[in-house]
Amino acid sequence: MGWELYVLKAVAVLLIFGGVLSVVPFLVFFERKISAFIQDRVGPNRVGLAGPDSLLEAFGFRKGTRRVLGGWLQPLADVIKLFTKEALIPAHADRPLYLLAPLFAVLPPLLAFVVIPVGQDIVVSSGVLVKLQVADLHVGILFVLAVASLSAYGLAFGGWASNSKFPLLGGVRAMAQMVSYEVGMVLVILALVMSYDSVSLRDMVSRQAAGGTLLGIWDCDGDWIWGWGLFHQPLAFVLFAICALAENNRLPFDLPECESELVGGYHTEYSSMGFGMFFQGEYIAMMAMGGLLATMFLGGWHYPGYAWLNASDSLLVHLLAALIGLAVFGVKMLGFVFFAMWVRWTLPRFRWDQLMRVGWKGIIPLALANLVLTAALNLPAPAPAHEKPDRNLTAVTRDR
Amino acid sequence: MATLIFWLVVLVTVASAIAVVTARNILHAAFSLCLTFLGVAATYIFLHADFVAAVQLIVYVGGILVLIMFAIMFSSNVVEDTAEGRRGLLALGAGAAGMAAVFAAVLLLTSRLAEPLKTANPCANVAYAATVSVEAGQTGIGHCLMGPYLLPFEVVSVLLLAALIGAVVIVRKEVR
Amino acid sequence: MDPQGRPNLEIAEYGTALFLLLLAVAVVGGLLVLSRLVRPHNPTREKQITYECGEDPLGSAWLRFNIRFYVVALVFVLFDVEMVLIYPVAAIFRSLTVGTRDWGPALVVFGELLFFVAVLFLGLVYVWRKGDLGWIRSFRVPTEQGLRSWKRTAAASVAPGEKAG
Repeated sequence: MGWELYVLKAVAVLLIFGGVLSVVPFLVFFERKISAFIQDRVGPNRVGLAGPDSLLEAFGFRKGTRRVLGGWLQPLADVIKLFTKEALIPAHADRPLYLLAPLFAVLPPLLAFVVIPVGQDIVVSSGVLVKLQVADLHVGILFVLAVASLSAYGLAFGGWASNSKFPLLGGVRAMAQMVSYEVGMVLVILALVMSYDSVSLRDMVSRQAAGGTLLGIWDCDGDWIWGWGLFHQPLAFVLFAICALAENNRLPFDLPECESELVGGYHTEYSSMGFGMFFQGEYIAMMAMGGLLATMFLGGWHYPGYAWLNASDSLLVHLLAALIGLAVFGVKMLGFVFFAMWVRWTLPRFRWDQLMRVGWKGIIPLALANLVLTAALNLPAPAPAHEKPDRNLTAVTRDR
Repeated sequence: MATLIFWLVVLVTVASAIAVVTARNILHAAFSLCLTFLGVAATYIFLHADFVAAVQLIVYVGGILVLIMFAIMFSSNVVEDTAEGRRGLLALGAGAAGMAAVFAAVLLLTSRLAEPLKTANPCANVAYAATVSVEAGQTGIGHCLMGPYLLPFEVVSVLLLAALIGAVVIVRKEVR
Repeated sequence: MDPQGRPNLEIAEYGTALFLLLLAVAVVGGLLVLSRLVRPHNPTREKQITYECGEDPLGSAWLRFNIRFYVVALVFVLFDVEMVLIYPVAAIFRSLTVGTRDWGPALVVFGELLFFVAVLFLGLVYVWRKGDLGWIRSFRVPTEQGLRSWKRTAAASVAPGEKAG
């Protein structure tokens, strides 16, 4: 492995990292816009003088409304504001922990992106290969689970160190909720691991791209979208989406920070950049969950026709195919984020006992049933022996 | 480079472990414990046992640390007084029972897996069985669990059930 | 290197993960420090007290907690260990079953897995039936007699006129 590979790797890591971080302010903006749209309001429309809408207006479309993208500079204004506001640190807070907690809120969701493949491998020349994935770890999905188990501590320590009643309640709730829904999530993923025959997220995507008998019942064609996990594990898909919302403390499950009873929950006493970090952490976590959902159920970077594009020998076409894959992954990932925003204005918040009941008495038995069902369907079938799909891709990967 | 990182990890692990026992503030002790667990997980990675590292994080950081933090919260005075009251002590006792069970389970597995692996058994052709390997023709923990170590695997499940019921029974007295 | 001749474990891959971690710490920490340099800093007593609906906060916030949280965490730990133990088996399940066309070993593996999951489920059923997962009601399972007396008092507390309406 030459030094240029290290450089390429570093560039890939930087792109993934920078991409994730830079999307966050825009997600905040879109959340506000989408919320406004759902509630039939206008939303932020002041900051942004010559926005894309002015261009539309200049040509006579949508005169004077500025509803679509008006206020498109709002993210920048938000960032500047968070940066320059005074930080109010409670006098009796536990200072070191109070200052460290925001860091702990951002790092775990960012680390989840380590194993998520955001695009297909780019074969620059024979033997030189760039993976659009930070690291291809053996433990794969277990790494995400391990990191996810860390994610409640930012909230818990933050709430605890504030020495204030509301944040403490929020922190305790965050821990208990995370723990309860992690059981369901781990069980759901267990069934998927069984179905895909691998714990590596990378393998999961290539299995979906290859199609075949993922569940043992029907043999599907990988060229179109029928290889996607969604069609083989529909129950798991639904359960995972619910658990993902709960692990992210998103709205039907936002008890750790519910503003109507706990003021702001764990971040009540945070202001300025400390608050900004918690905020950022929440959005990154949403993206990480979206990325996971896309990878496991929606085929990751796979899209209909990618095999046809990749059949070409031209490096340019190959790059184009990879680029489309990257975009497709982004759309799928942000699709989940949009879903979370949509759900936010559709469902009311659970009560605490309801939350616990849904987690322990709803999701866990269903996930266990799904696991057993998957195992039963994967018993030997009269079909021809299971062939490992996508040997070529794996072989290229391992050649280094 | 790797050696340097290894020693840094060791340094952080040991330092935070010392901080756990010396911290006057129980909050800081909990936080240091979190760091210690992370350091231990990193050490496992250096031992080429990344599955064990993931398990370490999932079980210890994800579960047992939460347990400890809740137990701390039953003690009334967090900052100055490190001696728990009766409630906290009972809760800690139940936690210790659970942890002992978990530890015994892990020990049962690892002691059965570690030594014989190096000598003669079907899993020994892999350098480290501690990875979750699924590649064709490979054996990993999964094959060992479904092969020579089937019985410990199943016994562990019963043991954990007993631990669950026992621990919950102890705590339940307190809840009433 | 393992017998197949490919790198068995990827310390290098973890190195990349570490690189991302350090990058993240640097950037996030940098942002926090940078913001500290830019923003104003003039604390007053009022600014430094914690929020308690506009009143001065009473006492320390570190209060005792409902032990039910603890029960949940306890149940979680044991579930967690069992689930993590299933992972290695799940990852090889298909290669033991689908690939073989042989029902004998496949059924054994399936049976063992089923047993393991059943024991897990038994634990869930136990804490469920005993009410350890319930949050609001008492830990005793409601008895028939109790329900009847509850219904009686509920019926008695409703005025006759309201009942008709």
